[in-house]
Amino acid sequence: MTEPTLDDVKTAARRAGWTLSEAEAAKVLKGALRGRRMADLLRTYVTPDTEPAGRFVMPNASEASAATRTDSSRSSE
Amino acid sequence: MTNVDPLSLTIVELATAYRRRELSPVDVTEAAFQRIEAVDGRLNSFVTVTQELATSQARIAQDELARGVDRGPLHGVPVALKDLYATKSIRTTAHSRVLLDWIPDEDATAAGKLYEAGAVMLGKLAMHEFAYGGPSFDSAFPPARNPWNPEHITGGSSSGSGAALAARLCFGALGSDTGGSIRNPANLCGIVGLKPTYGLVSRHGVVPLSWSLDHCGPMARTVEDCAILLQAIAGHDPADPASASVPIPDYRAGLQGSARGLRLGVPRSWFDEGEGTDAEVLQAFEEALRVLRDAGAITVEVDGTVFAEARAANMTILVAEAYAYHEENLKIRPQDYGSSVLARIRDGALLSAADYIQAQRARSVIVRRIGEMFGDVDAIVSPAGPRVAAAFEGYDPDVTYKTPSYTNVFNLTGMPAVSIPCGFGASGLPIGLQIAGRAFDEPTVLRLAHIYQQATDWHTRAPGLS
Repeated sequence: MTEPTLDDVKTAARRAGWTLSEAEAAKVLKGALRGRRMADLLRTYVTPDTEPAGRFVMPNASEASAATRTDSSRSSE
Repeated sequence: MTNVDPLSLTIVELATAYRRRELSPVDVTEAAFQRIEAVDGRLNSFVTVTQELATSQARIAQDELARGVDRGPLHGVPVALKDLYATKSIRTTAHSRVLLDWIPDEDATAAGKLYEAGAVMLGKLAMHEFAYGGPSFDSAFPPARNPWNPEHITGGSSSGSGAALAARLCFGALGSDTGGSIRNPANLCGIVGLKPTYGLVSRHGVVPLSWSLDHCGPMARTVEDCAILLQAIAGHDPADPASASVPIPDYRAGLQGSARGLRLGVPRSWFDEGEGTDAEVLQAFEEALRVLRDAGAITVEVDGTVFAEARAANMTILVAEAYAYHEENLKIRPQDYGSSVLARIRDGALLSAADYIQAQRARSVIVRRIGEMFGDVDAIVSPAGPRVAAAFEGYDPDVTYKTPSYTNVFNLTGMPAVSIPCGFGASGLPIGLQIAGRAFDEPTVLRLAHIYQQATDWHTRAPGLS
């Protein structure tokens, strides 16, 4: 991915509702460049079938599954 | 006991002295406040002292012990909390002007558990603002200073916790750890800090930095004291969505036993990452391995690549989640943040949703690879940090990106890791050893660390404050 520029920082700042001085924008850019490099590096660790670790799981899914099994066993009696 | 400074005792020794009536909670608490008054002006480890509360708790503990009501080894023991644990009716600031007026109406779960165990709360401890950023001179309070040399940093973000314990101002403390914030100050201040398994200790009532990486845990001067503190605070809490419902073993009992046959993975190729690890740190580490081998452990080389890769995933997740938490305040009151934390959190606005998801995907790969490694070893050992504590003067906030970050990988995997003292550098500043283990295998991590402490005396040394 392309590296962020000072203009990108100013655009992001406007979108986020910040008022940045030039010095502050330069400081954010330094962190943003580092962040970009890290985020690009991450893309080399994953393969197409890698699921996110923070995937969504239905609350109480295990209990629901157990209940379904119980219902099935009853209906087959 | 009459000639011994009570503040130099461990929690275990203090508990014994109470039960032998050689010392009393009221006297020890008073001694702690006298020492805080005498030395903390140079260290800034406390941001709030709670003398009235502590005195009242100490009196109650003393009365209960006299009546034979024994709440266990923390009964009457003076402790303190990193100032991001909510404390009912006591200001909780996260070291920031943003929360300078926040007086919570309930205690964090872990704080409440310490109270139930009879601990005496001396006050709230300094930290890096919002548990992020670095040592800063423009936050709500001055930065904590290292008791081994106040011109040097403590490490963070649980900076006050590390300083107060090393300076013998309290007997135990709670910290929080998102990328190393318990283990870094433990390492640089020469004390013990345990980041437990993700979900083992409730984070309810603790100001978050990054929800999927935040851990709460104990800090003390010995491994056994850490085990006692962990026993008090571990356990399922429905108020924390990430809280694990697992059996809680007897951590102190688990310290007994041998290291014989335990396999320790040593990821040496990691130690050279970036600018590498200082020779004096590596020397202390190799000597620590020798001690553990003498105790019966077996050291084996493991591939260090995956550990070095973890930093990018950890930092991306941390920054993105921290930005999400602070988004509104960054817009409406940026002037209330210190410059260090402000710059770091703002980085999150430049990350995309895809960046965050890629980090979580990478995380699952890293967790799996390190999990597989634990099929062959019982623990992973490394230095706790690449260098001894830096001086404030000329401090480079970006140094963490230039050298191996030994701690944050275990926030990413959620696995338990402890930092214990394993020597001193030429400058007289402490060096630490990190031992990490399988998820919920705190007993093995603590046992190895305890065995090391039984064979060495680094943890008994105190800085020359007077």
